[in-house]
Amino acid sequence: MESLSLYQIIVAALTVIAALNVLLAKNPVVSAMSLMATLFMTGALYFGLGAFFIGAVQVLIYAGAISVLFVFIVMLLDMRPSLVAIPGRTLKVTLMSLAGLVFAAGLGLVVCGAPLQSMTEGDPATASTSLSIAARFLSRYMLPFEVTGLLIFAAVMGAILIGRAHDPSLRQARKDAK
Amino acid sequence: MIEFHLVIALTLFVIGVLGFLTRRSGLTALMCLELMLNGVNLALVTFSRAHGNPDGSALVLFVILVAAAEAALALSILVALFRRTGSDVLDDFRELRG
Repeated sequence: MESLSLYQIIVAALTVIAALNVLLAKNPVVSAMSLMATLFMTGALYFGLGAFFIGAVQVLIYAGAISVLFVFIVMLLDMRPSLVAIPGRTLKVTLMSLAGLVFAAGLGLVVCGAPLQSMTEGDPATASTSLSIAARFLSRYMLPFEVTGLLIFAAVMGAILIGRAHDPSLRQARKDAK
Repeated sequence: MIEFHLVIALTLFVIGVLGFLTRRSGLTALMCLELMLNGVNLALVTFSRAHGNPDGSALVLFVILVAAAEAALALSILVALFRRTGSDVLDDFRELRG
């Protein structure tokens, strides 16, 4: 097995710290920025694993578009750090955290105990290059690739439809037409 | 190295699950959903590296695309709900409760 490099250890530590900060920050803007940092550091982790194309796509789409979208929504919703305490919330948080930790322990047992199944083996160095991914996309995964285009188109239309502010003059025009 | 990255992916996923279950605001719950998806992506890239098979990385691309579409739609639903009820706290959305 190959050994860990210092780069991978540092980037992994930064990823986990940023992810914890998403969870623990009081201010939602800090949460959104920590999400951006997590996604960026995960991209750096992909670079460490030799998946350069995936790392570039991660930084472009996830850290560059999705987390910026989150920051926009935080600004749009004008969220403030929550100051109001809700009764019964501490019990709920404790119980859900316990359930989450039990789930984590179960997952950890499965992940660390299961042997790696045999798959079609190849050369690890060229596994995730854009050439090999493109070869897969254009032969085996051609249909999901095309359908994903349709999916994104539908998502854009849906987001515009759901999110637009309702125009009162339009409502009046609809009432007059009836 | 493979086990290390699998543990990191598991950590990201578990942090996402814990955050999704315990956060008040819908927006931070959606952020933790993205964390979960990233944990899965990291596991997939790790396995792709372990076996030398590009199928894992191809699936990662699909997951990133679908996550982008899903984030856009979920956020627009959240904004519409916020306009309707004035709050983004998940506990306040009770209209569908029996």
